[in-house]
This record gives sequence, C-alpha cells and structure tokens, in this order.
Amino acid sequence: MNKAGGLTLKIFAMIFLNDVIDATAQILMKKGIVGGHAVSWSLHALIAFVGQNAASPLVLVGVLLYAFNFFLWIVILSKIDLSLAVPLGSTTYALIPLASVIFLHEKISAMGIVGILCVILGILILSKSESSVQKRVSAP
Amino acid sequence: MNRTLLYVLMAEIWNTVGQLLFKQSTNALPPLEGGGFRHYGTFLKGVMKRPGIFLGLLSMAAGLVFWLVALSQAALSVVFVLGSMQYILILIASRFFLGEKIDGMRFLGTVFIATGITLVALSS
Repeated sequence: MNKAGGLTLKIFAMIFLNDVIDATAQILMKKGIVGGHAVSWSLHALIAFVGQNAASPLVLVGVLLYAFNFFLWIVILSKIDLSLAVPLGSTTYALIPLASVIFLHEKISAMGIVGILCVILGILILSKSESSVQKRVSAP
Repeated sequence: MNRTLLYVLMAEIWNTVGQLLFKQSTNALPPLEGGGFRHYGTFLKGVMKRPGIFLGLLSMAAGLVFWLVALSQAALSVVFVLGSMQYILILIASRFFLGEKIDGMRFLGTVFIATGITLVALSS
C-alpha cells in the first residue's frame, strides 16, 4: 500500500533542493570538463576521456552532488506519490536554462520564457492535486 | 527519426521501470517520520538493503545508455521533445502498478510541465 501523502511545502523544498543540486552539478561538470571536442563512441576514447577528467575537482564535486541527490530522491519518494514527484522533479528543465542565462550568460528566447512560465504554472496546479492516500492523523 | 523515437522510448521505459522500483522499495518500508539525521540514516540503510534499489539503478543505467544513443543520433531539442512522453508513461505506470490516484489536477499539472519543458527545449 502506498504510504505517501500529498505535496507540502517541506517536500516541495526538498524537490527544489534536488533540482538546484542537479543544475549545480551539471554546470560544475560542464565547467570542469577539459577538451572542447565531443567524445567519440569507441571504448578507448571513452576511457581516455574519463581518465582525463576524473581528477578535475569540479567534476568530482559534481559526481558527489549526484550521489547525494540520489539519496535525497529516495527520501522524497518515501514522502510523496511517484506521479507527483517526477513532474515536479522536472523543474530542473526550467531551472537549468535559467541558471545558464544567469551564470553562463547564455541567451533565452521569448518561447523559452513562456516554457518556464508553463512549468511554474504546472507546479502550482500539481500542488492542488489531491493526495491518493488518506492523511495520517497526527496526535494533538 | 523513427530510430531516434525507438531509442528515446526505450530510454523512457527503462527510466519508468527504475522509478517504479525505487518507489516500490520506499513503499515497502514504514514511512519516514519526524526529522533528524539519525532517522534519515536508519531509513536509508533500510531502503538500500532492498533489491529494488539495485535493480532500479540498473534500469536507470540502461535508460541512460539508450538516452545517450538517442542523443548521438538526433539534435538535443528533438530528443527532449520526444522525451516529454516520459510524463505520460509515469502517470500510467503510477496508476496501474502503484495504485496512485490520478485526478484532473494531477493530469493537468503534468501536461503543463511537459508542455513547458517542450517549449524550453524547442527554444534552445
């Protein structure tokens, strides 16, 4: 039986933290990776690429953040329906472009802004979605 | 394009299976109550012992391989747009395998988020 409840501010904060960490890890890794060329698909090239970048402190921090995020995701899933957690966890896709604009000075189009607004609206609607599980009665 | 669609779909199916396994693993344990790092530590130790977590990670790894193959074949934006099918898959899987109740709000909110992500992907 499902033991998770609906969306609370605390859970949303955890999902948001999960997203922020994800975006941070991606930016760190993108900045930390050396060699501007794309990796070719041979195993040899792949191993060389990993060897070249594994020692980068930025990449290492990125990997550690990903590991932490996995545990955080497990905790989130223990508190909320999967069908709420997954779409809410995708605010990253609005967040990364936003972070890219702010920190990497990339440009954003009007369509991108509309997309980000759509995502935010979706989050607000999901917060109104009823919990599939009855709320646990807490002691007074 | 057809091949890209196939690879993206495979990536999404493996991802969905992974998420279902994670969620089933956390559902199998008593709910995480109260705060404190000790609570979280005990909970995580318990959950990591469940085979579903390991199998879920394997599924995710398989999904990642298909995702990377898809990315190597088509533009990032195309793969992302196709990728928004994931949300529908998760909705259906949560309903039928986990017994979650999908009300109108949940459907509508999911559609908005999927649409927003598609627009962001198309704009980049």
